[in-house]
Amino acid sequence: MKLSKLSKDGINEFIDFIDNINTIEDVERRRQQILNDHSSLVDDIECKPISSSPQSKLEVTKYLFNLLEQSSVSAETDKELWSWLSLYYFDTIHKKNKNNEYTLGEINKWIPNFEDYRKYYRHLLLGPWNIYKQHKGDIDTISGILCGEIHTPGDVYEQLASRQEWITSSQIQKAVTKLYYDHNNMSLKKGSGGKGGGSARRLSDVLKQFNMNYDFYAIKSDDLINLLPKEFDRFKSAY
Amino acid sequence: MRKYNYTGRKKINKEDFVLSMHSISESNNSYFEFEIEESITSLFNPASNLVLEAYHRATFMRFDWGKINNLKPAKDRYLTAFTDPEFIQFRIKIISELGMIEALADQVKPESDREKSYSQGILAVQNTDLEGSIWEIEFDEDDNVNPLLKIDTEIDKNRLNHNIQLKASILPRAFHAILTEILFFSGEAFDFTTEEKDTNWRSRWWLFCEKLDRKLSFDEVSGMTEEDKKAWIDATVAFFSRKMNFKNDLLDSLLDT
Repeated sequence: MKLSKLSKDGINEFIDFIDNINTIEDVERRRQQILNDHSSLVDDIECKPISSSPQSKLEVTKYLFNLLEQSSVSAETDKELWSWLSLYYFDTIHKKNKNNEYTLGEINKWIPNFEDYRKYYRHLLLGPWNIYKQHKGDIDTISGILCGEIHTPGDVYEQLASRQEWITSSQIQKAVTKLYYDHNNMSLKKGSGGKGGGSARRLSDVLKQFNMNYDFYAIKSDDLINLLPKEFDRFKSAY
Repeated sequence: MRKYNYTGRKKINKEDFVLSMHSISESNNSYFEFEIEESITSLFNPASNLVLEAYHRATFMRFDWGKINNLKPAKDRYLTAFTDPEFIQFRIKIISELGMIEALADQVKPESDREKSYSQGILAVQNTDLEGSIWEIEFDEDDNVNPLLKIDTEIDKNRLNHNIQLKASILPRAFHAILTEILFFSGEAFDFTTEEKDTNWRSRWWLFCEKLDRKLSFDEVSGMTEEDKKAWIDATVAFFSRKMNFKNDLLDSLLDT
């Protein structure tokens, strides 16, 4: 299918789809029906299936970035476009739970809410795309924050993407990659999630304190890492 | 709670700068103008940088103003990231080459050509996409920021001033939520006095309660059980509703339709 947008009615149908997904008899048929009935063409650009396996957040985001670079639309605040992309790539970005049920979470994971940044970054495609775009796909900057699978934001993302001030700071994002990204296994280091010492959650707390004394655009990532308390040592030593 | 500055960071005072925000007619967009006195900038290393940051909750924009010895206004000063300019605050920072904040003015509210229409009260109101909810109340982690009543985008927030059905269904419950936040979740952030009304939204609401003649001291609150607190909140909201004449106005309006 070619790059399209959902109409306002289409977005309402999509919300109904999300709210009732576990009672819809044929989910795939319903999804196709919404796409067929409520899409309007944006550009003559073929949207191919995303073959990344498992569904790497970075790979999916890179594909979307390249796709939208070819487009004539300004994607930054286009609710209808991102809603269509979420529905079109639904199979790539959802994951059923152990009981084979859909757990799609809040609406803003699928339909972006541009009026509140704390909801905006939660959109499963738009949030990572925005980070990729801001940092021009620089792997040294975004590998930490965009590590993992597209359907699961994860603790590192949740903790450190929630403030625009942090997400736009390449130095913070470089520090996150240096601390938490395991280059050998291309995964997050053990302990980066959760509530333990040195975790992303703790880094978020420490950054709030540093905010009083340091400017996150001017300070270098290595200097920032050196300022972190002892609890981060196990992550520092490995980068 | 009183805050102390142990960082050696200097304070940029209101008298040191002029910051104004201007709206663009026929759009919700705004831009700002900024000038700073040389008498303050000359106190700093010429190689340090001056930066302005506009923010409201997690939304943020940054504007580089150049080095102290060569200050240049940011070319683009449009506040495009914000849906409602009414709530924008600024930080003015002087930053050393190593990234240390040498001087700061925070929570700066710009002078505005729309000042008269801005909420000067104790409750901020904003239209926003609530994904199906009609209204929500939100509390900021910054103690000085008033609670925010968010109303769905398709219901013009100005209707709250005129429409009794909206008023009577939203305001008492919003007041209930605010009192619940104060009595149950303030922790150490509030001492149940009105002394910090210039820096703490809870103090401002406590003053409002005082004016309603619904006053509790720190000791009284400390001696209350959860049930006592709930009962006090219910009674205070009922008193507020009577005072605002919500029920009678609502009945009149229903009889009219």
